Amino acid sequence: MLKIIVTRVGEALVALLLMSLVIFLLSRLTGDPVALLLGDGATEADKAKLTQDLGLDQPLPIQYLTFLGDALTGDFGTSVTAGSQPALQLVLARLPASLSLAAVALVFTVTIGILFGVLAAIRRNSAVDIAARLIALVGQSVPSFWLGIVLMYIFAVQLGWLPTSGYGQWQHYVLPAATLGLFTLAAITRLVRSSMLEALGSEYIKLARIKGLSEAVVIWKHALANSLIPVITFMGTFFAVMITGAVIVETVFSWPGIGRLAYESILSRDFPVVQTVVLVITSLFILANLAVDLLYVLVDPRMRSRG
Amino acid sequence: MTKPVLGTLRRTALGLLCGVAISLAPTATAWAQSDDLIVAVSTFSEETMTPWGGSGQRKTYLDVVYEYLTYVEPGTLKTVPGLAESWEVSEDGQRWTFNLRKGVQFSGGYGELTSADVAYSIERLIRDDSRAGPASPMRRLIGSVETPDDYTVVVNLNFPDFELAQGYFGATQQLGIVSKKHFDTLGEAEAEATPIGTGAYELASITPGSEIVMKLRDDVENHWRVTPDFQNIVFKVVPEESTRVAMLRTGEADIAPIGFDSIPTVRDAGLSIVSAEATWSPVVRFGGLIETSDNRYNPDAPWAIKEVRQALNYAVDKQTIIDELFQGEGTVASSDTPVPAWSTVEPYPYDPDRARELLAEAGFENGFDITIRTFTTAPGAELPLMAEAVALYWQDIGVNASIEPVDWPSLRSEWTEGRANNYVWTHRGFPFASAANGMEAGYLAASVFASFSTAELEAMIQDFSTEVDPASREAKFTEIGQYLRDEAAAVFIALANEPYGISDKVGEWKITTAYVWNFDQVTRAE
Amino acid sequence: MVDATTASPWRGSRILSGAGNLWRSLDWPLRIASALLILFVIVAVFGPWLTPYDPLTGSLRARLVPPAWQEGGSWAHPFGTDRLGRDILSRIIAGARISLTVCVMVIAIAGAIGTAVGTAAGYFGGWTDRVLMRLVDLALSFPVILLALLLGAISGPSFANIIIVISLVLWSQYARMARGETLKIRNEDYVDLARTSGLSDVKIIWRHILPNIAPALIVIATLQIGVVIVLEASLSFLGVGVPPPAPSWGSMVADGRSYIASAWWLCIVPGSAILLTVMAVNLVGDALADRINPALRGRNI
Repeated sequence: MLKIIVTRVGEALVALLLMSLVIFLLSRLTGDPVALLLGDGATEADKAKLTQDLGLDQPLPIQYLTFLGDALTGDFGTSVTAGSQPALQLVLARLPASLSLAAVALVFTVTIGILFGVLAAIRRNSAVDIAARLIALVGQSVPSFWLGIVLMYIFAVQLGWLPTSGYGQWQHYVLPAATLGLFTLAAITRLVRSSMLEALGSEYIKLARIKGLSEAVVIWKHALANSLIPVITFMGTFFAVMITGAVIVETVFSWPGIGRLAYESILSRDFPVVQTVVLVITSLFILANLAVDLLYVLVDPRMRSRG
Repeated sequence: MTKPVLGTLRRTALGLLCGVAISLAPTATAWAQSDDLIVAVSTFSEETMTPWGGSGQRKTYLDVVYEYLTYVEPGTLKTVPGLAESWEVSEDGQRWTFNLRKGVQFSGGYGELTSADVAYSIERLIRDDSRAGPASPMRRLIGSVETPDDYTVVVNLNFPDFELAQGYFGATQQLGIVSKKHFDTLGEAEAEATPIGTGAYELASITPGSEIVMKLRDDVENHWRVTPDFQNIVFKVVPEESTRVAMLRTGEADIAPIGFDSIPTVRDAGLSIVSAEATWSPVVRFGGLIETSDNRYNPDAPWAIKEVRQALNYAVDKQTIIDELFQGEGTVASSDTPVPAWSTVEPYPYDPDRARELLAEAGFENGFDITIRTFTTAPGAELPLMAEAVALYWQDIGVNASIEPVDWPSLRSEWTEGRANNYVWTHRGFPFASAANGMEAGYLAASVFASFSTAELEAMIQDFSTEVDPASREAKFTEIGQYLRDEAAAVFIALANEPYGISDKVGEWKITTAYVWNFDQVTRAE
Repeated sequence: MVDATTASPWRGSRILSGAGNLWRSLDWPLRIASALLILFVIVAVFGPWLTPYDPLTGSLRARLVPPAWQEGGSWAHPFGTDRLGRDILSRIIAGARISLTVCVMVIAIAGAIGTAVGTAAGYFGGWTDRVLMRLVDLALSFPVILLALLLGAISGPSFANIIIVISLVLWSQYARMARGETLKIRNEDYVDLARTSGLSDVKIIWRHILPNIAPALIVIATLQIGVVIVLEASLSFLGVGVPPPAPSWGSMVADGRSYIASAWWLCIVPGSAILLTVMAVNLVGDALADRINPALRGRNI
């Protein structure tokens, strides 16, 4: 077990390093922030000085090594556009908003998704099953920005039940979380439904029923436990989808998170912030995958029974 | 499935549903009712708090805190005293004297406004690390600043500028006056985070990427310039236009810029529209037309020939574009800035036949290929759509236009580095309070933002800027306008308005001119 | 001695032989879905000949005309016109072609790369497996949407960029599935026989492994069509989609999003096209998955 953890962590670090190189190169390729920063009518001398100040006149490998070295001490550079604010500080200031939204969305989709999936499986071809499958189908067919705008229009403008955008109270979370999570909800519903169907007809369950266990225990303890495995397997992908969707949802609902920060800093060629945001997001992914791997080991009954 | 299990499930589901319904039921919606003035803008730009910390777009929230030496009178657009009670310029236009208003207090207890503060503000605005738009030309212009006494500022220029008061030193530009004492006391890094100005408001709080709250200063009984009705002004950044419209409808925003096509929707919802007039000018600029420069002139481009440029102007039905894409909110333009002296310059009429004639004359009867680069700005969200419309009109006369969406940063780099030579791009012009400044920026080879220049034009501009007699100045200025039009320096489409949706919390509000938002002068409705 | 090149049982042949009975065995939702899909492909392929108007030109004076059944609409433009006066029905038809092209290219590229990587990892095992799978994990760790924005910033939005970005999102699914399926069959008798008879690894993979893992991969491909279309729409919203004036359904929805209260047909019509197509694709894909996955066989309706 320990060996697994150590190797995984090691691989994660290598992945991070590779990612930092990729993102470093890519952000440099997007263009030169110097021209952007200088006001109108700047001279060559102005440009040269600013290039030097930002350290952009050094050869690329030196720039990369400097960046790495600084990063190890927690210095990710200062934002090129937002005054002299440290990039890391900027990113961390906006991280809680994104994380809380992702957490709410994840909880919402996992609970409702599992509920729907189970209901659909045990009441096969009933109204519940059809409704669940319909929602799942629609959830995977709708672009998230469109969903967000439609939900905003219906629930905020027409009905007035929820705020259109912004950040502050729990009501602000509802629409963005729903938009962010619908795709995952659809996926989880389908996954749980098909695994439950598979599990319910399996030998293992037949055995449990013969043993005399109540239906509730059969469904919730045994069948569901098996069905959770594919859900956990895809948890990493779901997290990725959430972060991906975050850029869109944050733009539509003016959510002050890192998705929008990434978008805006790419648009303004703010290298340090772009690098920092991508590294932070990538680390989150890697952490999430690590957690999923560990969860897998814990939940998989086959591995449990061995130990 | 056994009954007990089914029953439990059903009951839980029902319970959940009821709970959700109850909690969602419309009660006093705390997010939509507020005594404050809520302004939803599309961007905070760099979100920094100093006048020199970024673009003029930040003046939306900065101008309730910082004030300027002169202001612009709404309607007449005359220059009126601001922090400077009076001013005079020497005969040769190179020495300006400003007499400051007495008894104006900075917030935060930083004392009275003196000439030292003005001098410091100028110094910071033109310093090397300044990110303000006009920093570079001002740096070239300003020689030295003297402060003979506490209320007098003397500015010595390196070359004549007869419009300094309303130009670079006015409310449309970025010379907000800061407190020198504030920076001396806290040191530059810390002082930059909090804006200390002479305006009626001060910073209450800032949530990065989300909102900036300005509150009325309590140390000022009667402010010398404004009598605000609102205790707090909340600035929110809402990049998505449909969200801003939704916010106006739910009451979550009181003032917000909207797209032209949303005007009917907002009106139908019972809200009003305030349209800032002629604050920007959509235009299609040609690349590679700086004749007096060696690397920014492309003689091989089809549009290097004047007749071709004229044809491209005749081909576009500008009035229809204004009627349809801008909902009638604009007038056909013969320039990219609304100047009274240029109101006599006639724009090109819509005449596709004449366009085809001119093309044939120039040797392009089979048309040619052209690339239009587009991007969005604020204002300027309609620019890509306008480009598509222009492309369709050009297609009609045989010019094969392809659209290339880019973003402003990339285009800006190419433009300022002299690489924008074989395509055209949509852009927007602004009214410069100092027409001379505007011309320097757009039509002199020395400016990196020049888009068109000939030796003749440079001479005309030079002549104009050194002309002392006001009547002659006006005449020469009109001449330049006519020249720009005849040479078809660009495809000037319109002088457009900027529509803002207004909630019923707002009584009266008016934008004076571009970059002068007057959010501290919004009155509350009865 | 068994001829190693022809004797392997081909699971796919069972599906093909059942094609004739397929229609009869389908229930109504599936029949509608399959019909819709066939319609989509026909419209996409024959688009240029079907459009009533040129999807790229319009008249500014006739912009934002409502659909025929609304007040102010006419049957000249059944679905109304867009912001530049272009006929929406024509643009929908032309857009089907773009969507199909993007789907085909992405799935071809992502499928080829993913299958190659996955099959190699599954077949060779050991270090190849470890390295390749770590590569897959690495690819999954990168927030692809930011990559799309970066690419858009570097070279402007273009058709090529979209293909690259979406392929990057999808290839790893093929890799994982290919690896899993390869692992299942790599120790089967016919593969062993092929190996002992001296067939090269590449030939074995090509002739014996690939045909047998193909069904599973085809299911993935079908299910991904929906993802491609929806992703393209999201990329258009962010400004890095198919460049104008190309009428991709995604950019039509993105362009029309501000008009939901005033000119709702601008985004509802292409949005419905996306919805219907993706739903049809997913229904068919699910049915295929049901048939191919042996664990669920026999439990179908």
